[in-house]
Amino acid sequence: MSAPAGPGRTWRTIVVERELPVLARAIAAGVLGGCSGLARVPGLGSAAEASVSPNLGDQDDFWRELGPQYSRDRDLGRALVSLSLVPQSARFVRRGCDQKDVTMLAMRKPAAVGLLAMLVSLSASAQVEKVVADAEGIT
Amino acid sequence: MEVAIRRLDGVDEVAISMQRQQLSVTYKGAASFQPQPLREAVGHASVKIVRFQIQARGRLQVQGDKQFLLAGKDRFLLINPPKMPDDQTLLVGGEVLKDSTTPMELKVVDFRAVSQQ
Repeated sequence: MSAPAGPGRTWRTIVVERELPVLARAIAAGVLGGCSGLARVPGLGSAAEASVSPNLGDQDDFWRELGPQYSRDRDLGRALVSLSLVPQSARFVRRGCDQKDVTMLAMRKPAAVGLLAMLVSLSASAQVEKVVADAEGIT
Repeated sequence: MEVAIRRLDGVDEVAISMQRQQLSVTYKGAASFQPQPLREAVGHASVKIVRFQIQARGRLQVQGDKQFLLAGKDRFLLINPPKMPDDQTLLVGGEVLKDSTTPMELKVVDFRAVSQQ
């Protein structure tokens, strides 16, 4: 005997289904509100950026030298071209956010605090970002 | 080998090319570059690293006639560096000449000044 699908159950399901997109939009608007166009994690290049070789300069180009071989190699190519050389913090600010906005948003949306903290920490940290190692014996 | 590299502290992404005999490691935020554990991780697969090239974000530090790149937890002694600004954050590409010394020695191949907010 199957359980009857009473009105209560049906409505609860419908409400949940209807709330999910709303919740998603609310989170996006709340976390990213006021930050026009910031719809992705800093550090991950967009498709447009990914098509550009991560050249650091025009002359004596270290990365261009590496470029052709990476373009022939799918894995390394993807890893290298995904680098964005636009300063992450600059991009963040340029799109309408600043540290104060982030803090206020974090206060209003506790669930987003972890995500925001991660984004901020990633946005401008000085560090070795990527290493390419020439090796022998990879089989 | 990829699993062994992924297990290292701070490693975010790993790409390995048999054709090119190269591996690429992308680090998580605030991680540090530790060449020796990386060498050991690939050494278990009988792979030997012959050269490291890095991309780092950091600042120039001048001490006497020596210049260093401070990139988070990592510090590199720059060998024959080009003229670079010491008041801006730099995005530097270079070849690690010595990774067994402290600090490691780095030859800057290319750099770009980036704004730091």
